This record gives sequence, structure tokens and C-alpha cells, in this order.
Amino acid sequence: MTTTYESSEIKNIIARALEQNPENSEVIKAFAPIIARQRQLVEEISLKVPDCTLIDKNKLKAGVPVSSQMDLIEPEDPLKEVALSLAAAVKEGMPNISENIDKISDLIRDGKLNPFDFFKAPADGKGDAIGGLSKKLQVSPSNASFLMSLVSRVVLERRAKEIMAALGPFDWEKGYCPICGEFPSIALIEEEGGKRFLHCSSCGQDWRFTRICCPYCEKEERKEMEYFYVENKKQEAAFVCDQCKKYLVTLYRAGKVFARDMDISAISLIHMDVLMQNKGYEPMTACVWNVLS
Amino acid sequence: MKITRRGFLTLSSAVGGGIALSGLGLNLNPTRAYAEELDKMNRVKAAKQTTTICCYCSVGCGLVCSTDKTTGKIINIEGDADHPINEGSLCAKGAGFFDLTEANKHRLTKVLYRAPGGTKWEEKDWDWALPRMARLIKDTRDKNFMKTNAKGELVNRCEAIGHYGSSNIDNEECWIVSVKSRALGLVYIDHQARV
Repeated sequence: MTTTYESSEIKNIIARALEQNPENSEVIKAFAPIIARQRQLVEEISLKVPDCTLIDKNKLKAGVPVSSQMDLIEPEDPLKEVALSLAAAVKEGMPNISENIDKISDLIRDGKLNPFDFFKAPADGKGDAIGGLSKKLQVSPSNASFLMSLVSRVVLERRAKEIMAALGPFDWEKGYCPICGEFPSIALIEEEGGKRFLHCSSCGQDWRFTRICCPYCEKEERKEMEYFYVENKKQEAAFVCDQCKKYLVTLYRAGKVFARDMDISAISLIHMDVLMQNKGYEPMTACVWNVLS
Repeated sequence: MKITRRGFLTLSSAVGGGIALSGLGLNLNPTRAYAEELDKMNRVKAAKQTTTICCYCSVGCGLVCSTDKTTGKIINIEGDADHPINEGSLCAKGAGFFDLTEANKHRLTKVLYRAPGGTKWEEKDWDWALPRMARLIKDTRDKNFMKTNAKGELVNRCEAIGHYGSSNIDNEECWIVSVKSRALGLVYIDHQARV
């Protein structure tokens, strides 16, 4: 799997994405400064070293992700700093929501909005607390949620890297992420060997998964695993499952010549999301770029 | 705070899911138009994958065969990365599998005949070719058949014909070739994969 890159390479990756999929340029350009800032923040932020003794490898083997064994977002994490830094990037990429983002940034800066509350509320079972919090502070709930999802990605990706380094290799045979338990947003089938790797856009984790099984419902099918592809652009594909009616955008037999960022690849293939959703399929996970209406 | 998987999924969807791109002020019209164009021009193809086993040798490598759902034709054959024997790898013969399908434009689809001493290929049909091949093989075999050797020992063999097997035939075809060759009394039987 080739998802690692030097931070300076992100601009080249985005430029290639724009060149290959000019029809999606508006969305790529909107997310470009955000993703570039996220990757930078992942390298720069300092987090408390996770206590990996809490993680039971036998539980992992049984399919219990790390998120069910330890806290992945802590109150002392630099959520405020990350949020303010990302708010600037959001304004750059998505000027239409600048006003709302400014309002949210001011509340965070003034201490009236603690980003951790966004993560604490749903984990405590208060599903509608996000809406309530946004309403109370008179900010757009969708814009606040959007910003917080970008913040969580930075913290989760950094934490996931540290956890993976501490854990070393372990068995994982599930279709959801071993770290955060989220379903994949995109898959990559390697050019050499044809192995399938799933990518979690929630924490940036990649893991190998069999090609003959649906990651979502685990239906194993050796004869009828279906996919759609674009004629003359066979790299652009989407695997579908007729049991659960989910799809997974897939980069098929993508080479290793250029560095790749799986999130940018996923955004570049947003037309596949449009096509699959028009055919009645749903994405395996709702992330910030595949909810189209 | 303890986040269970269910809880975390709730967290994730609460902070990130359900945010429509249009709510972020993005114009999706060019993307939608492109997707519509792909669909209208019938450029979005549906295919299915089937796993199978390579027929060539006893190793038993796994293959993934992709078939176009509309035409029923094979569009790709590749090694099965999840197969415990080959883990996605294929030998030169296996990697060339796809060229045996009708997708290979250079594949011969008609009988071509070049007469002894001739310089040009002529197209013939199977009704002409099969009896002729059978006749020539039978005549050569009958003319050169040896019931006994110089010592008078029973051998029942034909040394005038050899059979050189193809690496592009499978185990079952190899078995038929072998039985046919031995029935004719052939002793020079070999296979490309062995040399």
C-alpha cells in the first residue's frame, strides 16, 4: 500500500488529481487546502502517548477495534488549536461558508465552544447533543459538525499511527477499521499481486481485506462479486454488494509510480459516488465528500 | 469516557456523516454532468468476478476471472491475491491466460493450411482438415508400425511420429493427448513445459 508521502508532495498529488479528473476540480480544489493542512497537523501536533497496554490483541483478532478498548480522543488533546488551524483552511477552500466558520472559530477562541464536547456527547449516548449544542451557540450544526469531523481525523490519524507502531503486526480480518471501527471509504487493489487494501477516512488507517467478501455485510461470494468500471478508465471502479446494497469506490490496479493520498483519490472519484448512488447503492460509510444530496 | 464501536460509529456519523456537499457551498453540477454523460454513453460497465483454479499444472494456482455482465465475455483474468498457493502471482503461462480468450485479436479462429512446398496459407474448414489429419496420421502410423524389435520382442510401437505437447492445454487435455499417443504406439512424447 502506497499512502505515505513527504508533506511537500501533497501539492503534486493534488495537481495530478486535478489533471486526471478535471470534471471534479471544484470539489478537489475545495478540499485541497484542508487535506494539506490536516497532513501537516498530523505531523506537528503533540499528543499524550497512548497506553497501549489497554489493547488486547486477542480481542483485536476477534474483531474488536481499538476504539472499543481505549479512548481515542482525550480532553487534553489540542483540539482547539487543530480546529482553529483547520478553520483557516476551510475558509480558503470553501469561501461560501467563511462566515459560519468565522463564527465557530470565535466561539472556540473565546472558550464558549469546547471541541471536546462534540466528541463527548455522542459517546455518552447523547446523539442529538450536537444539534443542541449548535443551536444553543447559534452556529450552523452542519458546518460545526463538518469542522469537528476534520479535527477528529487529525487526532485519530496521529493516534492511530502511534498505536500501530506500538502494537506491531496483528491479525485483522474485518471490513471495518481496526482502529476506529469505521467502514472504509475507498479501496485500492494493488497493481502487483492484486491485494485489496481498504482505507478508513475517519482515521487514515489502511488494512488488507479479501476481495471476495463484502466489507460491510461480510457476504462471501466466489462467483458473483460485482463491480462497475468506467470504460477505458479501468482504474476507476466501484465494487457493489447486492445483499446489503452498499458500494465501495475502488482504485483498481493502481501503480506505484506516483505517491498517493487515498482521501484525495476518493475525492477525485466522486463521479463514481454519483453513479453508484444513482443506481440505488449507498456508500459503506458517510464521509464529508460522499453525501451528495 | 468509554467509546464502544457502536458509540464511536455514532460519534463519527454525528460529527462527519450526513453533511451534504451542497451544504458546504460546493457546486456539484460539473461532476453530475460528467456522471450523466458516462451513463448516457454507456461507458459505465457492469462486471462480475469469479474465482477459479488454473488448469495448467498440478500446483493449482487461484485465478480471478472478470466477466462483462452484458456481453458475458471475459474482460480480465488475474492471479487471486487471496489464494493460499499463489497469493496473486502467476507463472508466464498463467499470466498469459487472457490471451487465450476471444479478446485476443491475433488468436486464430479458422483453419489455415499450407500445402507441401507451398508459400501461402489457405483458409480451410474443419470438415476438410480433421479427416485429412486423421488420414495422414493413420497412414504414417500403419506404414511405420513395428510389432516387434530386432530381438523379436513385442513392442507395438511407431517411431515415425512424435508428439510435442502444448503448454496451452490443460491437465485433462494432456491426459487425452497422452492416451491417444500411446494408443498409436508413439514413444516420442514430450511436453513444452519439460524442455
